[in-house]
Amino acid sequence: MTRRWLSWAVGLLPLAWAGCIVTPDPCAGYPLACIAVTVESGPRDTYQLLVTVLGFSSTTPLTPRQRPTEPLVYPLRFAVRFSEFDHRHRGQVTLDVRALDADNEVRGQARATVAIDNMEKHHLRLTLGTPFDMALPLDQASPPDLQEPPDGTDLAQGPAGD
Amino acid sequence: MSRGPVLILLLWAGLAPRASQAELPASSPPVGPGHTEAAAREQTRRLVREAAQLMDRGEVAGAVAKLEQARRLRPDPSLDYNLGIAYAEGGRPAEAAAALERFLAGAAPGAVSQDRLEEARGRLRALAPTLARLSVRLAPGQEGRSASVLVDNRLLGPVPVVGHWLVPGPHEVRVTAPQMRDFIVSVVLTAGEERSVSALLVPRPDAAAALIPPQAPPAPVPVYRRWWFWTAVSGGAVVAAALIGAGAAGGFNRRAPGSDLDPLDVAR
Repeated sequence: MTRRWLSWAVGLLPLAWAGCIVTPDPCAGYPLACIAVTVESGPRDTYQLLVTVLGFSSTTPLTPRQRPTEPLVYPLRFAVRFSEFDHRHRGQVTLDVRALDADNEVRGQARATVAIDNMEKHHLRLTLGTPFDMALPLDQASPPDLQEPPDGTDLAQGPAGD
Repeated sequence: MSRGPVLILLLWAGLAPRASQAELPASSPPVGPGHTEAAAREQTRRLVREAAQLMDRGEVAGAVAKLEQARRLRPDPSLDYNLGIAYAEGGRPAEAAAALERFLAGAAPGAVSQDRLEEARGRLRALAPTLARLSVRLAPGQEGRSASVLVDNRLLGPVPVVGHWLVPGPHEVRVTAPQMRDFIVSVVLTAGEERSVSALLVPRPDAAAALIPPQAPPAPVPVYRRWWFWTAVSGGAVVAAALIGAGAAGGFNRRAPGSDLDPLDVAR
């Protein structure tokens, strides 16, 4: 009987050891609205993330604030903590997350919109893909060159033969 | 001693079946298998006649053997008388005195003539001063025990032995009982002496242990009564409590792999 008990006790040890993997909640303890962001994968040489919340400002958009000496290890977890929403808040926010390498070059990017309101807590999972195309949209492109017409018509004189 | 009275007596014993039968004790032991009472009586008579013939020829030892055989067949007091005379004739006065004493004790007064009785008494009185008597009993506190008495390695019977006739001189008295050491004592008896021996029996060393009733094998002790059981249970409880406490306190928690970055505080 005692041997059986001992075997149970010994058997519980690895179970206790293996069954208690804790994933920290970045928003734990924050009383206001907060988004717990988990970046599951992305470029290998990521040293910092540049996080932008559209329409919101941040004193330190980089996390970690100090650049580490080694690349970050995925998954990356951080919290986006909001102050109280004002009347301009429309109930959702858009996050833009960019991965920076050791030279501060953007190596990956992801964007997501989250519906959130006062004091809500949300969890967001992202995967950093290739940076978005930095080309301007077509409607913002430069106007076509105002060169002379190919046929060399003199606009002042009007069409020939008129 | 003249042989004439012996022969006469032998003939009396052998040829007086009625008298002999009358002298038989009421509780005569049964005869051997296949012998009826009449056959036993006839065989006794024949043995006595043969003994008489042997005595007449001077073969006393043979006559004693015949008489002893006849007495074993029928313990008749008349045979004790004849044996007493034969023993005395054969130089065995102690046995003669014992036989005559048995005769006097067992002979029915009406069945034996007074002269015969007087003669037996006379013979016994003549023998007694030349002999010694030995009594053997067990020591106080052991009276109820069964033991056997041997004198000079001859079995006399169970204790107590009272007034056993012995010739004067050294004798070895031995008292034996199961599981006990033999009580052995040497006595030197003188004529006319009456010696009493009290035998104290002591258990044999090897038998002493055997006398102790064998103890039943100890009943198996339940496991919860073993000293180590509750120790193990207590230890297990302490370990379990420590595990539970450590688990509750997060001692076994492991942080998930990955990087935990600084939070970002944003505002309008």
